[in-house]
Amino acid sequence: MYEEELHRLSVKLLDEVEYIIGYTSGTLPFRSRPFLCRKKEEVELLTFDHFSGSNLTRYLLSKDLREKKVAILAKGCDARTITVLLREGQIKRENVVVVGLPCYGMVSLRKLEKHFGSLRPQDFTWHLDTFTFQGKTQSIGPFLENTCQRCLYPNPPLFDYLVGSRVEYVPRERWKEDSLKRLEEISSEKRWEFFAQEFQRCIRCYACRNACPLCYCKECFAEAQRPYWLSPAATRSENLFFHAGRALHMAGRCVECGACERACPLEIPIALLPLKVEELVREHFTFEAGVSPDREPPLLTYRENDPNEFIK
Amino acid sequence: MRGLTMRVKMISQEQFRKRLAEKENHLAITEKAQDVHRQFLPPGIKVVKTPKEILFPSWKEMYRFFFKERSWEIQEVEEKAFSDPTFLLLLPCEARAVVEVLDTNFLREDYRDTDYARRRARLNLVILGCPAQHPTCFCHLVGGSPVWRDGKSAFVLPWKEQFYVENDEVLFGEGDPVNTQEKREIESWEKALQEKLPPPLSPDFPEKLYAHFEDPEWQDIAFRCINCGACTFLCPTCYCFDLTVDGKLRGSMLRTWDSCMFPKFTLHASSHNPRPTGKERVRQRVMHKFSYFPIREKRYGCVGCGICREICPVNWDIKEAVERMVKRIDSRCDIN
Repeated sequence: MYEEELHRLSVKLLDEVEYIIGYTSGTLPFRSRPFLCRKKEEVELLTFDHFSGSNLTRYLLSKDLREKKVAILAKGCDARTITVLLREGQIKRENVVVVGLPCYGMVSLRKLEKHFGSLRPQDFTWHLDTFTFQGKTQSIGPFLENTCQRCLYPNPPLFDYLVGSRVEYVPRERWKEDSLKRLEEISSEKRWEFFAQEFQRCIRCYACRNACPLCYCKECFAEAQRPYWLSPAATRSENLFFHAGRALHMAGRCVECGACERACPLEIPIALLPLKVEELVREHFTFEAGVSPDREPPLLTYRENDPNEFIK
Repeated sequence: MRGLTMRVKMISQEQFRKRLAEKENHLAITEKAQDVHRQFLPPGIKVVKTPKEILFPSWKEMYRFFFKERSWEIQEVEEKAFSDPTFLLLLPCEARAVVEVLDTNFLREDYRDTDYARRRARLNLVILGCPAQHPTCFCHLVGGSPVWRDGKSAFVLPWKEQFYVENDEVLFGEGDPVNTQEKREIESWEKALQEKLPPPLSPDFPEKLYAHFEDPEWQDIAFRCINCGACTFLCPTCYCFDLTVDGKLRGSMLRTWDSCMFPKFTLHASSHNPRPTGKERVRQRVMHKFSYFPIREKRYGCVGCGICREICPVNWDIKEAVERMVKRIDSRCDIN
């Protein structure tokens, strides 16, 4: 999508920045991968498609890039991440040029495989919010990543340049699928059963944590020895503690990009917990992380005149 | 003649399915093998992600300890009645991971891992020939093949509406003898298959890669890796583990999987870290599998199953990394 425009802009940007953090096509079909574009000759390699799911803002925090001036491609959720990182003092605004990408949602390879069996890239033609397979054009909606099916911000709320044209408002009902809502409708016993079963499978490889651009603690509570919060044994209860702990650390900070869920090698729907926490934050504080840069994040702000007693 | 001929037989697809269904409680199959052979399998066989799940589980209590009357008492962990499967159906690459890498590491002459040895002795490998190469595999590159077997474990190959079986006594039961004609056909099919495979890495690759330790290319190779442990934990050959004292006055010594991708893997008590960034950690992963282990053990530490390529959240690709280093080595031989 928008490649021509992206390449033209990138050539211009490389006069101003050292690197462009973007996507390029992967070594396997249906995969795009993070790519560090350094030279004008490499600009042609930049791509953006329905498989560019990685949240690239993670790389802004890497040792090598932190102090450099870089441009970064940002979908709606990625731009929200940048806003949170700025607010939390992790990056400097003058070091980052944000290239906004309006996004129709990322397609889940797992959902495609489940529906079509073994896939050949040449059988698919991708358009903006539809694709053609064997002559039939259909909506990408049912094949979107779970978090993309709930997305409220297809257009980046923060950008210096915008490539492509803005996505018209996408009503949530459009995809008729919401993994979180489905879970809220069942009884708490059933829900417990669901989570117990899912988290039992976790092997604690920490792909979710490392894929998350907002999980940037130098030492994660899950690996800390002093204090010793949780055992490294991947048992159901310890795993549940890790995922619940992570969800709570993300309260009011999670931008619902789904990077954690996509990263999971065992396909555990990890994002459900942070998503629910964000629903609660929305409900109680009318706040969404990374949407309005000037609003104070409710769970990271201390006030002497806080109306709640327990905080004092 | 007895003892000189390999025990071979032909069984029907029906018998294959029926016998597996009967032994269901003693069986497991790897996810990859299930993907390749789904059409022949009865439903309900226990699926494991990799053989490690049975032979080297993600965590284990080594012993329990407690403080009593001013001294420490150590308690052996009682072994539960073993409920693990006794037959594991797996692909040639995964079997190679067990026979050539895990066994080499855990069943050394100078040190024998008792837990692994006990589990391994109970587990019979049933290698399922793998005629369909998946786009992620590259067993040929590290000297494997879709029909690799160790000559001791059972080996099964789908052959013209039937199954050709080697070295099996109990699992599949009696079968028809394999006549000379069939034997010759299978042999020539295998030969043709082997010849079609792209060439493996050159025999001196491990030594040459060793010399490229300081190659600046590693920096770029490592760029996109996010240093999670998905690849190492699901790798059938990765065997690194950590020990943790879990508890204060009473508790247990835990053995859990560890990953060279984690910063803490090499963090010293002094706070010095000899592998401080992603570059050193990624280099270690490639070097261990393609240089250190092969130099020491005369075999690769990677079996080319491709699971790491398949699951990597950012499409970091070990085959690509190796190919890039091959190019570097070819382009300038005198790095030092």
